[in-house]
Amino acid sequence: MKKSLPLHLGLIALLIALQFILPVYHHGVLARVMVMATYAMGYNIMFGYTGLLSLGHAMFFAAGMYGMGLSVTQLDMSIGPAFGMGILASLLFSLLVGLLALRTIGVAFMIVTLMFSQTIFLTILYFGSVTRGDEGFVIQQSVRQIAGLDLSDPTIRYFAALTLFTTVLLGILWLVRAPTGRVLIAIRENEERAKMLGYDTWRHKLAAVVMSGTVSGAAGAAYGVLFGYVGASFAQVPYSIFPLLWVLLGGAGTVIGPFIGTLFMFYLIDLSSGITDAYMLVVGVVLVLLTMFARNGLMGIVRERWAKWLP
Amino acid sequence: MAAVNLLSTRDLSRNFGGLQAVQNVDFDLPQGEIRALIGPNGAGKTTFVSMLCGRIPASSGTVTFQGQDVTTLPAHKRISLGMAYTFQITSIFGNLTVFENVALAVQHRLGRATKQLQTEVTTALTRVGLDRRADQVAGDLAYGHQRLLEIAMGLGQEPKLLILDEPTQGLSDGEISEFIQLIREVSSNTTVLLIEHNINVVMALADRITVLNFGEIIAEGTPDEIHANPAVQAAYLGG
Repeated sequence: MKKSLPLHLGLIALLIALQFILPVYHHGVLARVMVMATYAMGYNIMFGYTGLLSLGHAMFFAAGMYGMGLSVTQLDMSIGPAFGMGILASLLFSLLVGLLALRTIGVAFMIVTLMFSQTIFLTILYFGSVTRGDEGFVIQQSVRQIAGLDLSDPTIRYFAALTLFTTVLLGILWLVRAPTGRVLIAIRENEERAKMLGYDTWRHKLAAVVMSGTVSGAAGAAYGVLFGYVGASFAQVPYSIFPLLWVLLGGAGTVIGPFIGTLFMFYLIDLSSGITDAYMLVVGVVLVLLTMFARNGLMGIVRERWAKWLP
Repeated sequence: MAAVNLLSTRDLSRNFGGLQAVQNVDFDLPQGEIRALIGPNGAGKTTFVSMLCGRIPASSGTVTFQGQDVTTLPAHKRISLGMAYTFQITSIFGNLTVFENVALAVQHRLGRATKQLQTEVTTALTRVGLDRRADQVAGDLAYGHQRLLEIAMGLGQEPKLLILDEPTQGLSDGEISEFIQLIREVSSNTTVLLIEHNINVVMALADRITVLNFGEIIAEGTPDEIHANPAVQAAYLGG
């Protein structure tokens, strides 16, 4: 805790400072990155710390996003309670998914999560009259107000994203040192042994799915609130793969890795698309190189070489 | 001996497909005893103890622990009742430090991460002589040290029944004599069930010995009785 708390608080302080100095464009990018990094941190609870590989996390992101969005459009809720509904929706949904999907392990678990996620995507399309299907719907600027603050204003949006990001970052930092978090890591390392030390591994895995799904859902709800759009594309396969990529790049099983990975990926696409139309080729090559030479991700390297204490 | 039985089995059996790995075993382990379980390779020793601690379910029969029928309880609940099992094939958390490995064993009993956790982990590590390696990554330890770590994890659980599956495999002679000393100390407040091939360890430690062959108990008695038992000699020498 001696070294890691200053590091993580330092990152937050840096992000606060950047708000005042970044040019408009990068300011907007960073707000988006913080929300998506929150999504990645949620993913990391399951994948990085518990060793559960999900291929369907978009369903949790979408559960939060639509839980929030539909509460606004269908129930005329104001944005604060609607955001709460988004979190509640993803919490209940991840509990249900956990109860069903955790009956499987390994590859079967990956397939089951993938299929559930596709089901959610198709369900969104099926109820197109309510969800507006592929097209999605806009959360009006007039609705995106909380306590007199306009959430569509860049500065307020930035700080709202930072608040969510900070809460989750510090929450996970606490979790991975708490007894529960240690057991999740034990399950990742050797589930059979964890069981034979007396831990109910199934229950712990269920808790991991619920925490992971709820944080991912909170990110989805926040995305809808802050950027004013709710759409079915967020429930599609790419949005299940992104958090996996971000976490792998940044370093699975590190608290800070998901943020680093998300930031890296955003700017990799951003910068390479400024150079060539074939930017996906550049991105692909970089990803291949990273998986060849940095299997534990960027923060994984930092941990191996310089900072063994990195949580 | 009039002592209370900590653990009993009745008609305990397990078959894998057509293979009867353990059949109709009636077994009683009095509290406070060190019992050695021996038998030729493939006699069903590991299968038998795995049914005791719940790693594999019994095909039929019952397991009673502290007077409670635990036959259908999942492993983690039996462990919580006070059993500990150290694996025959070393099973540790290879990427975590030695300290963290034992901390996970202690934490289950203590709940919160406290100062007491620190003390108890250090005590367990000191008892097996690994205290100076607390910060090493467990997977980097030499094989013999990993075996000792397994034992330290078992000690950290402070079990009522400690089941050791071939604990001295891969230990040096010096480490084996320390191990014998350690188990003697432990047995003052823990019942020990020991699967062991090293006959010197068995003779030095066991109060009584149970001999398993082809999934059945063929003999049970004091080390001297077992030593003189013709059925045991036949099982080992193939006579």
